[in-house]
Parts: sequence; C-alpha cells; structure tokens
Amino acid sequence: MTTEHRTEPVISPAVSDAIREFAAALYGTPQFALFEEYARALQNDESANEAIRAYENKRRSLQLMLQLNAGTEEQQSELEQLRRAVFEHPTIHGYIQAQERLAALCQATANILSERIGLPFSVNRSGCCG
Amino acid sequence: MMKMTEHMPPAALRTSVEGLATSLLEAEPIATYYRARRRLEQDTEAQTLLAEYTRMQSDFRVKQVHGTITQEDIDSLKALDQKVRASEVIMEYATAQQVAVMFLTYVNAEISELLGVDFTALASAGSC
Repeated sequence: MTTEHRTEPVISPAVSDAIREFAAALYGTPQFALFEEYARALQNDESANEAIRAYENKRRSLQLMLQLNAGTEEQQSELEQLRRAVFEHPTIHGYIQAQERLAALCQATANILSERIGLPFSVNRSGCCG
Repeated sequence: MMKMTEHMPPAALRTSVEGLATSLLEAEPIATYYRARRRLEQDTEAQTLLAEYTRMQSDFRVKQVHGTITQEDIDSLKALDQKVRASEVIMEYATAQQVAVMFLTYVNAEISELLGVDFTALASAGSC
C-alpha cells in the first residue's frame, strides 16, 4: 500500500532554529574540526590523490575480468598493492579515521533523536554504502 | 581502538540534540503522525485489517519468488488492498507516516547544507 503524498513539508521557524543550533554544536566538536582538517589535507595532498587515481584506474581496467573471476594472480596482486598504498597513505588513513569518528558521533546523535521522536531520524535513501 | 566515551555527544551537542528532539515532536508533521497512530491503535478492526494485509503481502512475495502465485492469490490481495484503501484510519496513518518521514528527510538535508557534509550518509553509515 502506497499513498501519493507529494506536498513538500514546511519547516517551522522553531524547528529551523533548533536545526541551526544542532548544526552549530556539531560543527564545534573536535571530531568535526579534525574531519575538516583531514578533508583539506587530502584535497591538497598530490601523492594521496595520485595513489587514489592509480588504484581507481587499475580497478576500473580490471573490473570486468575480476567480476568474471578471470584476473591473473599478478593482476590481483598489483591491484591489492595499489589498494594498500591508498589505505596506508598517512593522509588518507587519517582522513578515513577522522570520517569514522565523525560518523560515530553523527550516528550517536541520530540514535538519540530517533529514540526521542520514535521514528528513524536519519535514513539513507540513496542505497547502501559503496 | 576508540574509547566508547568518544562516541558520546559532548554536553553542548547533547543539549542541542534534546532541543531539536523537542521542537521536532511539536512540529506539525510529527504531531499529526502521532495523532494518526493513536487513532489506529484505538481501532481494533483497522489493526486486524492492516495485520492481515501485511501478512498477505509477505505470503505473496514468497509465492512470487517461488513462482507459485495463482489468480486466486492475486484476486484476494486486490480485494484486501481495496478494503485497506477504504479504511480512513489506515490511510490517514499511512499518509501521516509518509509525510513525517519526508519531513525528517528535509530536516536532515538542512543539517547537511549547514555543515557542508552529508549528515544523513554519516549518521546512517554502517547501517547497511
């Protein structure tokens, strides 16, 4: 059973103020500051971006072969090496950790909100990760 | 390994979370949802109908997977679907729930816009 309801919800000034206060408080946490710091660092780190590009290019070029389980051991090991180079890069590693910490904090706040309002507060409708 | 306390929102953030929760509960879409839910909870006939509809839909999906759906199954589901749609209490509840969910999606989008990050994605990461 689906209902056709397409009216855009109106956000009242009271809710709008509460949203702003919440966003400001989240912005002021050490987790957010660290995430921003690493996001900037990653944007400016050429070697990190090169490592990501190299891995992505190789992964794309081998995608079909790997899906068909037809990749050679050498190709798989090369891809694994490039993948490791990405995740072991200090800037990328730091960025991922900072993102995980910020995500944990966002999840904690969303869990409290869901509990208080009795409805799931944050639901990712764009599908699952990845 | 991260300490558990690291995941606990600090006091200022927690206060703002409580404030947001309070204002959301007072917001029209959520208040309407709760009114519709209470109405449904007080209507035994509508609850029975909804439970039967949910069960029949689930059975239908199983039969669909196994390719064993009969014309009788289709007719029964259609007939029950019409009954559900004719129930003002159920339809009011379904609409109110949809509006409440859409409202929360908008609230999440506002937070994301203010922060410049996808709050929804971060808050629901790992829930796949």
